[in-house]
Amino acid sequence: MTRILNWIGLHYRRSYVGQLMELGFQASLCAVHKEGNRKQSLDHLISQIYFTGVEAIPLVAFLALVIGTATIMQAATVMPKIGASDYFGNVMVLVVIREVGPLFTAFLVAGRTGSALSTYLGNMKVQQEIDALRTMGIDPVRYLVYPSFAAMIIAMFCLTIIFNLVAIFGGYLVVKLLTLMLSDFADVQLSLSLFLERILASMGVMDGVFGIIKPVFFGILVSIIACYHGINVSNDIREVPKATTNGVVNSFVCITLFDTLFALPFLVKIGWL
Amino acid sequence: MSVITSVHNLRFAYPGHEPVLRRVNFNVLPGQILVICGLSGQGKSTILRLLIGLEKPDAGVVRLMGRDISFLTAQEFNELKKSVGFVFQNPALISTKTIFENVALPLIYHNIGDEEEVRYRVDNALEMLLIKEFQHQYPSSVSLGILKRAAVARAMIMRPKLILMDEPTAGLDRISRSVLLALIGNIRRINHVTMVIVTHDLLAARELGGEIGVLKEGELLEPMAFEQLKNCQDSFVEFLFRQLEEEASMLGERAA
Repeated sequence: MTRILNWIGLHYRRSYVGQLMELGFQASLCAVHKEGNRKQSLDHLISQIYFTGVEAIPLVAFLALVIGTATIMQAATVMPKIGASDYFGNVMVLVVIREVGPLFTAFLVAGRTGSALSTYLGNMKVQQEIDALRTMGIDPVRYLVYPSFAAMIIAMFCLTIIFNLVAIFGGYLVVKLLTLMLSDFADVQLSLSLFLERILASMGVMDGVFGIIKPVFFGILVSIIACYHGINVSNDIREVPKATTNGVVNSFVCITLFDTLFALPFLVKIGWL
Repeated sequence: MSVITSVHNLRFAYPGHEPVLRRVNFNVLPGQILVICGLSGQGKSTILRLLIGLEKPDAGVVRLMGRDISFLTAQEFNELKKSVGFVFQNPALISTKTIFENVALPLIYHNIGDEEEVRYRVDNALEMLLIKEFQHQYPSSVSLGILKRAAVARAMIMRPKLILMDEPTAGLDRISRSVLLALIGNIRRINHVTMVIVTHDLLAARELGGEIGVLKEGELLEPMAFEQLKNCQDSFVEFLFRQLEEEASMLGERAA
């Protein structure tokens, strides 16, 4: 029995998922182990947060504005026709806060930062820079993976909040502006305060919990997948673009898969499962 | 006298290939220079990678500072690596850091000295290798000769007991090569550091002094001085010397 468990454990550890989990575990351990230079780690963390988070704000805000406007516009057009105007807040919470916000932000971060991270680490591997770190007694996971890992979690969380706020406020303001400019445009028929009140009233504890858990989890996924593909490039420059593509594609697949899994508690709650 | 590094019956094969090292044995004493020579693809660089733990041997024992590295935890090995410097054939400097930052990196990571001491030690190393004027430049904007010297500066910044060098003169022109060999000689004289140097360049091996071990069919022949090696009856060593003579005559023709 022990031998079978050992065999399963060994194969699991060698598998793609096993290796991702091992890298994630090693990166998490770096947060508690006091090795290396704290100040240097903090500098790396801040520069990674700047690259992953701050520099991505304009892109996230633009995407959020477009999606928020489209969602409010569609809801304002369709919902009164089916007599569901009272559920305006529910739609916004369901579509923007629960689903689209975390999902689109994760896609954006995976495409932008994840690809950059895989390419950067892949090039370092090919140039033997990662081996050079090892020869100096510098743990590459602590020095390279951990700052990206921590920064991605923090940035994803903040970017998702920014996405949600811009989608709701920005979308509302754009729709109101369009209503003023175009007379036959579908109006929201709600004041801003009532609009926000409806949204807040529709938000449950689960929305708040998942609003935190989802971006954090997606941040972990994207950073670990990107770093894994980057540091596992063989010593061949032609492998770098392949690693980048695989990293981004696998991130997209995993994000979508886990987004579906996150939806399961809600389906159970409404009795669909 | 305690041995700085030793390998015993070292055997190694890259996955899916014939063993590149079959039975390698050597001891390196404090202050000694061991130059490992051989043809390309015979596993010279692999010996260095095995010594520093970048590869794991299939069989045999590698000892650093008297400790068998296969029994060390990752943390213990990282601690031990502080007393070993490594120079790659491709200088492998971190491309996003300046020359100064690259040389200072091990000191900063291992929390050795305050900011002032780090600056003092890095300045000293850069001055010793005659590259202080390049300290604020990035690796992509300097020549290979400067990069190699920066890599040597980085390897010696922790004041190691042992420096491992992989083809330090490869790819350099004659002047840069002579300068680098002279600087390596200086470092050895001033710091009394032990060195294991891998090269296919017998001329460089002679200039560096020390003992030369020839890697032949996965085994290291008994290390000896250059003149002794020249009189050695081994056919492979004779072949290496013939190559050296051809190379020297080619260089002479070019110079003429």
